[in-house]
Amino acid sequence: MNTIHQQEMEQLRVLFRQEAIDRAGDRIRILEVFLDTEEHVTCAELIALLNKKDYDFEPDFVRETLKLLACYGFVQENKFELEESTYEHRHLGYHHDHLICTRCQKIVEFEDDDLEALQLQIASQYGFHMLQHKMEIYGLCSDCINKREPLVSIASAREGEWVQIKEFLGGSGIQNRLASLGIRVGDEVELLTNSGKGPLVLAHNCSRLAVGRGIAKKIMIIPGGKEKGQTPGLRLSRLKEGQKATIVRVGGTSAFRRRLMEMGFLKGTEIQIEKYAPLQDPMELILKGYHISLRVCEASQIVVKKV
Amino acid sequence: MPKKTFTVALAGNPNSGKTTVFNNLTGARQKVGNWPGVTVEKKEGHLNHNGYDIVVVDLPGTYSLTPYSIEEIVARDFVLDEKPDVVVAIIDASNLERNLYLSTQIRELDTKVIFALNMIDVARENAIKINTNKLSELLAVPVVSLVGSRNEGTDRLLETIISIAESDKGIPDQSRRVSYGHEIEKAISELNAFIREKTGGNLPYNPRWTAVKLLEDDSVVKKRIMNRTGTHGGAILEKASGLRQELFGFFREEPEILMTDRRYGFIAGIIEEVQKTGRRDRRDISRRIDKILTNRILGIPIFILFMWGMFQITFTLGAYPMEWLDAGVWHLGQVASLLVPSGILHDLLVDGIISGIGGVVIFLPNIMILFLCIAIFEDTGYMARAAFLMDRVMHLIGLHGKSFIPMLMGFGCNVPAIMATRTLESQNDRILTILINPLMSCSARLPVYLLLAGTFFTESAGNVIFAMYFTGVILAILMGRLFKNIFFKGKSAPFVMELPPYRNPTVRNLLIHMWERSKFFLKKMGGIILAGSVIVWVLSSFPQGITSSTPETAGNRYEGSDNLEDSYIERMGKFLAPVFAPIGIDWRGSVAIITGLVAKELVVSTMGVIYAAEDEDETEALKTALTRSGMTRASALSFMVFVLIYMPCIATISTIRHETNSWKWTIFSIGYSTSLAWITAFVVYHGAKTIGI
Repeated sequence: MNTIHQQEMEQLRVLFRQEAIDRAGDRIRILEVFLDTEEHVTCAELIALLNKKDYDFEPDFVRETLKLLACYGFVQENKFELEESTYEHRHLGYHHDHLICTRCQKIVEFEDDDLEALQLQIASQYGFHMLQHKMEIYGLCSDCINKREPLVSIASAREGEWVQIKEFLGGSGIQNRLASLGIRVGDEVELLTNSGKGPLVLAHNCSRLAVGRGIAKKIMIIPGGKEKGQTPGLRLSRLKEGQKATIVRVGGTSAFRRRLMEMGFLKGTEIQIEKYAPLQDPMELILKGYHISLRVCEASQIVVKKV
Repeated sequence: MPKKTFTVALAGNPNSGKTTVFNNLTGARQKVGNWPGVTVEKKEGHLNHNGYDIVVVDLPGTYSLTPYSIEEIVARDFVLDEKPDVVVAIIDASNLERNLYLSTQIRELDTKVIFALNMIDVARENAIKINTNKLSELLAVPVVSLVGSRNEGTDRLLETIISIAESDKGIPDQSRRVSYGHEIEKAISELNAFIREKTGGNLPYNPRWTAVKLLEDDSVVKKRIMNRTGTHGGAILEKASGLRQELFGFFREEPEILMTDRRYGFIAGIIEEVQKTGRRDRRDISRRIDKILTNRILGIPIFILFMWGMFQITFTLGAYPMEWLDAGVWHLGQVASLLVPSGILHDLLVDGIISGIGGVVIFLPNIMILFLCIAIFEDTGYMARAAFLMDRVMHLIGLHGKSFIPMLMGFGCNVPAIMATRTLESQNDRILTILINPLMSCSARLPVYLLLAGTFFTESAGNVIFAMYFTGVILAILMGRLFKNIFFKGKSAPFVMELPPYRNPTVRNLLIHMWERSKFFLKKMGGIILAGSVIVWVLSSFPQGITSSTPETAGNRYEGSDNLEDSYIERMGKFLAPVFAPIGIDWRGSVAIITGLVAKELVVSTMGVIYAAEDEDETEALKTALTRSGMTRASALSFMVFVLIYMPCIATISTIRHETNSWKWTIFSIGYSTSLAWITAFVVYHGAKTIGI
């Protein structure tokens, strides 16, 4: 066993003797199990660990011991947002910070001297004497990311497939460029042409866009498209006369979206199809009590939910 | 007391009754023109009230002040640069929420604003109650209620305008304003501070407003900053774009979209406090009318019926006063002939000036009737339905549904048709419609087809004439698509058009509308057409022929072919003959084509003079002369095609000049149509020769 742990248990024995704490032996056994894991555990998890080692302490006793250990500085109690308290081994002399996975609640410790120094420096910049601090970074741990549905680039999708764009690789430059074309994360596009080389042609809202293979490789989608239960959102243009719906999102270029928003096409607004023109285009809508006409292909950029 | 002068600008959504309020304020004392440099209509009116001389400027109707369309830029620039003393935001009270979007943007411009709640009666009918005091209090702006259609509240509005313009308090404190949320507000204040630091408070615009606009990536404000702040401009724009990037990274959404959302949030909050809506099915009558007028089956037949009616009234009914005027002009010429002794002065007066003015004046009945019809369509709200019905068709050319009416009117006369493009809000749509409008074969070109088709295609004259019209339409579509792709690429505005409720037009508005167009036409067109007519008269009368230098015949250009053959115009015809030779038109045809520039009607009469000088009145004689002259079927076709397409007459050219507000587009229009005419005629001529027509 680790020498630090040996020392710590020795110290605890001395302390318990000094303070005349009862059941010192049992408590030291709890510490022993706790130190063995070197992980962040909740009280219930520790009890489970103890049970595994065939110890059978009453839960209240374990909880009280943990508090006591925390009190003596052997254990650090962490209370992260909304979670149950977890306990970890407090290493004397140094401090560490946490990365917390919001999906699986896994906690990763890290330490960074520069960060510590920076914190002191920031505190002193504000004329602040730092006693203590907590640094918690929330996010997805590498396991969870790997477990997520793997994304592939649109360049590997098949012709005729409806896919939803999940992510853009590359910097914000690419993102801005695509956004100016009206393509953004969450959009559904139909892949019209993908010959395996040369540019791809996407049907996006009303327009066909030819996208170079280089850029296409940076547009990430979930493979499988429709077959995986991914149906494209209901478009306003698919509704029939007299049907009502609420707006879920407005797609298209930012100028178009803004123009529509200015006319009152906001998320959650109720909209009714009054009629289609005799030549099937444009369509007449009732929105916030007034009548408005919109070309069908422009209406196809509006995703709605039937009421 | 010295007269005090100040300027009031009217702003508001389309269909908010802005024009009615404008007419109520100014009456018929209006000046209609274009905004400098752009094809957007500008209306200005004057009024005197209690010793104040007030200039009222009607800003283009817009839904917002984002710089996505030229109308919005014009409206905003006027407020920023001309600094009107008061801006009146006309608000359709029955649609407060959407109207407030623009009004609150105007309020942000650091100017004195009055909110005029128009159509308060309609709102009441729809069971909408608006607490105007509360609205005024919340936004720190005076609020006036109006019923524009009944001219109610105009005096109160005037009083408020004067008292606000006169008050020294300046712009009221606007503590209540849109809050854009923590992240964006932080960026705004950072940029605001940066702008203040760089410019030292030397900016003519409110720095917060400037910061907001820069974060919205407002191209016009960006340009202004570059111009106004000199060397610091670059740094400010860089800072702004950095902040934009940050916000984009944070929200994964363009800041302007978020900000629009926040503004609506702000408005929703105000609406919550000031408006109570009872439950009632709104605009019931309009919906019922629309059940018929935009009906799936009946809609288009009814529309065609209306168009047919308008066409008939304009060109058939209008033909009577046209004849009277024509007769009047003729008599005037006779009287002038008696009073002025023969000679150059006589010829100039009778053949140049009087017939030149006459050529303009006779269009007046057409124009008045057409614009009365259009005003009725517009003021009742049918125009929007027409656009709704026809958009699919016009979209083929990349045009708005509203372009249909000007295109249709082009079959009558291109002058009023081009003036009718004023109903189009978008400048691009307007220019495009104007450019292709002359391809719609006007009624003045029909005599040419009748003559030539009747002579050379006796058995199928009808088909040939139809083919001419059809060719014009096809070319209009092709050219429309081509120009759209070359000049207006990617600038297509989304077709988001309001279908306003049907309203009863007021006679006053209709008459003002009709009068302002007619006045504009008379005043602006008169000069240019007159000048053009005089020039052509000079060309066809000088130098006076050697063989017929007697004063009696010298000026009468159609009386003797000798005379014409010696004139400048004839020399031009001969000079240009090599140009027309490849398309099968001889020098006589080219003279006819040149005189056709004054008015296309002159093509046939000139041909009468040149081909059949002895017997000019006899159509049969002309036909025989034509056949004898060596003209073939192929060259007749070529001639018709050329007349169909080549540059428009002087009246149309000057209309194009005034309506596009640009010599560039005018010259382009002349150039493209003439070259297209030549190319098409060439293809037709040689095609026809090859297949042996």
